[in-house]
Amino acid sequence: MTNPIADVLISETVLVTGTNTTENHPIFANYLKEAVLKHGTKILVIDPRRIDLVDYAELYLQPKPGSDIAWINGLMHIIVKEGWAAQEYIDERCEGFAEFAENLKKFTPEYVSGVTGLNEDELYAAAKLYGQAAPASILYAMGITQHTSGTDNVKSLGNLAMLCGNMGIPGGGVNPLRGQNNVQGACDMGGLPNVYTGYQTVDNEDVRAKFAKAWGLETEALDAVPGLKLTEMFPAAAEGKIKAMYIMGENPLVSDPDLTHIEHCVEALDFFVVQDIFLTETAQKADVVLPGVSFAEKDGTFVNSERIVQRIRKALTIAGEAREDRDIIAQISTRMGYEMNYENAAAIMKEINEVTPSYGGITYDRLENGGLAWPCPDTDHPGTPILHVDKFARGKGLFFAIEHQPPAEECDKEYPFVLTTGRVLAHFHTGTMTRKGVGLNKVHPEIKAEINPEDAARLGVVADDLLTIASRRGSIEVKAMLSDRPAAGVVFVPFHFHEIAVNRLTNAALDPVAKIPEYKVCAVKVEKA
Amino acid sequence: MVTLTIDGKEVTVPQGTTILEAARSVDIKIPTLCYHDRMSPIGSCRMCVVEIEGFAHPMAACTTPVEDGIEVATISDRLTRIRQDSLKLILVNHPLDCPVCDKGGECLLQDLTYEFGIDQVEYSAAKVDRDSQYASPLIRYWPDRCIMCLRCVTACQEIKGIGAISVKGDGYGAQVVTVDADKCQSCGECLQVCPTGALTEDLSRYKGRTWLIERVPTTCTYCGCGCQLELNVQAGRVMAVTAQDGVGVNQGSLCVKGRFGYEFINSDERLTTPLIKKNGKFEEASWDEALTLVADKFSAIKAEHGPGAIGGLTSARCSNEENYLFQKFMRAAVGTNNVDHCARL
Amino acid sequence: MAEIIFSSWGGEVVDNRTKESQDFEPVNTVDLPEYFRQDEAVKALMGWYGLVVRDPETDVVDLSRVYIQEVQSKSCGKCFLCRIGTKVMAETLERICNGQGKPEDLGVLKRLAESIRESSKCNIGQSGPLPILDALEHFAADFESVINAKKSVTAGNYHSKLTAPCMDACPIHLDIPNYVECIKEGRFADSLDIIREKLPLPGIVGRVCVRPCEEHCRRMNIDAPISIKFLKRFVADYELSKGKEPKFVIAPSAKTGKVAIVGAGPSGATCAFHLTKMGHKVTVYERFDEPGGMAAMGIPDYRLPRSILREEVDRIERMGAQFDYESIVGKDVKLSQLEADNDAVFIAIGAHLGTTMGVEGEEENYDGYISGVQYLLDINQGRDPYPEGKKVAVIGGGNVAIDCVRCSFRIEKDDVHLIYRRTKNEMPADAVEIHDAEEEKVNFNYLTHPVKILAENGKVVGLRCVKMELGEPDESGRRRPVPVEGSEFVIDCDIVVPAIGQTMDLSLLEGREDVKTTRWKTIVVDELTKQSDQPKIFSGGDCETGPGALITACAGGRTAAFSIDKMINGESLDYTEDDHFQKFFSKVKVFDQAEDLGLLGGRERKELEMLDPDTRKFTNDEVEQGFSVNDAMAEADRCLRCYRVATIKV
Repeated sequence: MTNPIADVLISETVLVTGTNTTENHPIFANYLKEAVLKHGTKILVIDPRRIDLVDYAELYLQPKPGSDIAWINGLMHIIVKEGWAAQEYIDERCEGFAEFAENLKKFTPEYVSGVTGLNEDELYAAAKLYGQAAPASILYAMGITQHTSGTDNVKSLGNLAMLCGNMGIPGGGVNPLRGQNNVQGACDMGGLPNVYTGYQTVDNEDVRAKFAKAWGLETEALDAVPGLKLTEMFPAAAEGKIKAMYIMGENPLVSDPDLTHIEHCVEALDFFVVQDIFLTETAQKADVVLPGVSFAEKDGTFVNSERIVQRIRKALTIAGEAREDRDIIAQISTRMGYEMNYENAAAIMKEINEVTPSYGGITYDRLENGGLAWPCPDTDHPGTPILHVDKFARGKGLFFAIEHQPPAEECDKEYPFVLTTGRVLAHFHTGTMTRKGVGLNKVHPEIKAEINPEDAARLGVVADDLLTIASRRGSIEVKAMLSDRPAAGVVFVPFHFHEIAVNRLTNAALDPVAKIPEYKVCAVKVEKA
Repeated sequence: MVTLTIDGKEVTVPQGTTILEAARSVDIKIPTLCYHDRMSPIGSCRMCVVEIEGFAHPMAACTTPVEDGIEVATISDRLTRIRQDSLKLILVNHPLDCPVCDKGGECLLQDLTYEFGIDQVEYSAAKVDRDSQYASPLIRYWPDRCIMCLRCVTACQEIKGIGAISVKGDGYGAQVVTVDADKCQSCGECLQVCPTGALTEDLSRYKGRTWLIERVPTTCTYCGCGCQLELNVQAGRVMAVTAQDGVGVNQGSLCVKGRFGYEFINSDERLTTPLIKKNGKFEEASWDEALTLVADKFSAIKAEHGPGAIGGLTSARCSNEENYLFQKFMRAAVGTNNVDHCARL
Repeated sequence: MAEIIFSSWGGEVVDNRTKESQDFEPVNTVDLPEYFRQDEAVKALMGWYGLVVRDPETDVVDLSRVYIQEVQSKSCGKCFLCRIGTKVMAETLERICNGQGKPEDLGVLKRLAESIRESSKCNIGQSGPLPILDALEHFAADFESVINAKKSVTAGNYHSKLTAPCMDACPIHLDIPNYVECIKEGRFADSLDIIREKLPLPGIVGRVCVRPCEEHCRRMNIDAPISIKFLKRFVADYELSKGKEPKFVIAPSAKTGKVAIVGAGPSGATCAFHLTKMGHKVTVYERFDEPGGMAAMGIPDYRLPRSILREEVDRIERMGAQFDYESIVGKDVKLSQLEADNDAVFIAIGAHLGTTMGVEGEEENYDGYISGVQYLLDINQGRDPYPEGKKVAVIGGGNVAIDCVRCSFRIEKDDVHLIYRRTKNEMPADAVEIHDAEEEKVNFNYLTHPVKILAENGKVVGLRCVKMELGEPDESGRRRPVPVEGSEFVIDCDIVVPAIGQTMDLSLLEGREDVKTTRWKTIVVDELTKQSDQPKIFSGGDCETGPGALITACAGGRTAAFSIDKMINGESLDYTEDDHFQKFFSKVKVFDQAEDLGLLGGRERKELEMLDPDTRKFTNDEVEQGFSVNDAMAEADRCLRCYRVATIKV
């Protein structure tokens, strides 16, 4: 997020898109509700699902799934035409505007209406609500990114924010809501194939030299070529290029798209190691399973969506021989001839401070008094709650001219429904943690597919009837829940339930840059089972 | 700015400040029970009544805004009588089951009863039967212990914007009831703000006395909000999860997962020993055996096929420190950039 | 008339118990009616303001018991002292009356009464125990003797009622403190439900009500009344903005029938709403092509957008009432036919005819001479009543006159005069409306009276007026204006709009001349049942009351609906206890403007944002912008919840 969530309290308008905030980020949703109820903030929801937050919204638009670039460009077309663009801000702080503006010209309300299914009045009202507000914020999540056009979707939202002068100011920004406790931290720490910590790229020789020195290696020992992304690794395994995999705390055999294919890839591996706290669906396929510990049994730090680094603390010790994950990694490394030896988590953080400019000042001592938002280069720095203040991180804010492109798989006669996937309030990700106890299962006991009552009536389906949902890749049977959240022609299925895994249906088509799969749109047929 | 005196002490505060806030700003303690920092004043307990020179009626400090030049008294015989009566009236039908109450030891009513020295109650009234049904299956409602302070109702409406519970009935028969169970998200905000033991966690099979529980502050392990919470631990078990008011992005709120999704920690299904698959079946192994096997295999594959033949997935659920070590391991020990995690999923 | 032997009403104690009747001190603080019902003499009153005893036989101990029980049952339960304290008091008094009292009970009662009164959250608790304290002080011997006798007292006959100053002042008696509290707590839908128990038109009334409630708001005694009208508008707008359709539950009466309603104005619509809710089959006959009656034709769009009106009435149609637009009763269908085809007919045709001023030239019907009602009707239907004219003189001082002048700007008349024979102080129009008209730069000609309409070639060219001065007060209490000799002058104008009053077009009664009417051409009905002297014919709204408040018209419609339901079910239309209380409270005032509340005020009343006067005056856009959520909740929080209970011994 470029801005802290509390900024929505001072926003005049908040555009909420591709995030079912009340279920997936319930505490952030508190801020949105408070903003509406106490501070007069107006919420503009644009989402293919009629999420609960719509009850608090000033305006709600329900576009067709996979039409994001079209409506974002459509709003910008109107904003430019009506003279609501922040021209002074654009001239001073951005570049690439002319080409971008030229590209917008064809996104007339008529054209956009045809692509998105929204009417022209709605588009105008939405453009006005965002375009005339000062400041205005944008919140989004996987509903924007999990598309083959995900990167372009995000860039388009960036364009929109810059166009109205909303970047780098309190109450503004473009704010992706992170879905997992430390997805931000995993990225910050270089858990990505192309960067070391703090987004220092692996193809930069100076960076490699610095890390080599810190790690006691020759520069040449470090690979200069970016590695494979997760979504590329499994196919590479099937092709025999990857022989061994080491997976820590992930469950791709429920979470990844086109599961049948993934299973096939994993079986092709020569050697497969999984480190986890439970014998997950993925761990069951492993050659060796190493028992790690949960967040309650170790010290460390997580980074939240707002880029705030916060402590976790060891609260108890589990009986048995499970070991802290850092010990396990260090032991394997040492046995492979590269010695690792850290006294505690704080010692690791100390090393992170040394090699990561944006983490330079984030020490355990300081974290005792509460979290710190990076960049925080030194121990006197207070942290940076808002990014791009005064100038953009790259210097000038760059406008991108972006074309609309349809989803990889569109509906046809045989597969007339759009399937979209996501989470429910009471469960998390692959259910490894939330489905273990009694409590959350009482609140949300079973998987159901959300289907619009209109479609249900047409299919002769009533609540709790069994549906067969099939895509070109697989088929599942799941109970129906009649709901006006999805529009007619759209079904929603959560992915927490391994026994009825919706990812048997999803499409592994990837965004060309981020390699993110198109979970939010695939073509399916729906029948009464 | 507005200047007033409270107990003879001059106080200057911005217009719109309540008398309670003004008093707190100069460390004058006015007793409160229903008042909660995160909500608008409720005004149900009347413990915070004060007197203002020239006005016949005592007024609630929590709801009355300051005026220039007023002289406020927070202590007088009349105020003490009112506060004592307020407490005595609650105790007319509040069970004295403190020894078996989960809240015993950190109950606001207990503290105030002690502070005001209520050792006998000369009032009496028949008990009313209240419904013990509650909106969430994870929370138990003890209707007899409920003092109707309405913090729960206000929190559900104001903090969560939901309104699943409300007051029904009039007079003595008024009670907190579930008006819309479907809307309840089991977030436990009501539980969090309840000053007595009227709402208790109904999930953990294990209970502990409040003074024996250790509360360890930490960060939630679910979504990216990064809520600050406290694991309530006794004898190596998590008994409950609470949050501290005013701390972190959540300011004391939690969602259903954060508050009730802790059972996995002490789950019997946890892995407790390394496993090695032999002939298609897992067998328990020693750490030494497992680690050596992994290190040897990785080394062999690296030697035969090059470091690029090994891929690693680190985790968005693990800590920064673990992620750092994992990528360092892949890059420095294995020698490949084939490291990623599920950021996209 | 029996004299009052004791009163503590309003804090002024008059004790005549030991005096001879010729020495009795008068009671000035309360006018206690002699009878509640015809056959029920009022023997004593215990209420929020004290204790009044007329009959020496009154058992004050038993009266206290009944009264505090009523207070307890009406306590909202939202503060400790009132909720539990009044219960303890009620049980204690119950015990005393059962002969099981103990001497120390009186101490408990006194202490609790004081604590509850001094610190309860709202006025139920603040006022509730007050007369008990009076009784304990002045009738201590009565209490002691009951306790000492250890015998049960004989229970008397009582009537009790919960009211509040705003509720009592509201013609339809909306439960204002309750719906305002819902807004304070953010429960907007609940708030609307409470309003709609009685009034189906919150969006309309929330915009144009003359708000008697606010004139009886106790908050006024410490700072300013709360903005009840706009809070009502807020919840209606909120629902509309969220696109929510209200759910009305139809609960059919034991017996249902057919009812014809003449006129789809506020009164007819309200009547249709309640009858439909009770399961009756309703047809509404409306002569225009849209609903609203005078609210649509007489109130300009900038005050009441037609879309709001249409939506609120359409909802009643969606509930199941049938609306026949452009259907004139008396012409397209005869009243006698409606009577024959239906179980009842409700006439609510409003007052759509202008009255004349009695000024020279009026009867000539010059071009440019247009009655106020007609003028507004034309404008509201999108016509300029007289495009040739540019300079307007409107005569009158009521809301219709103000509407006429403000509307004139909106049809591009640039020179607009208002002529009123008294001063601004006496003007009956809403002060807010006057202020808004001033902002829009209407030329106000006070103390001016028209004497002759000047014309050339059959067209208005001016209005001769005379200056007035205020003389002695007339029967209305306002000082009578008298002409100043030799002060005549001419106002240059080409449109003259008399807006001094309206009257009814009763042509629909043709053939039913036996329906009794007044000399002001209003239909005579029973005040509290709305039934005319012809049993199947009921009437309400302006055609019954004369031109009046919109909320009064709604109230009439509602009352008629319940009467009609009773009639269809073969029940008597006798007055209910509520009806009698309504009469009772017209004497025993629920609101005392002089009351010292003893509370600190200073919480500013929230005002609405308004469009800029210089631009708004030429558009029909709604001038007043509604409350934000925040402002609405803050404004609602100013409510003191002035509920109070009265118990009458008969």
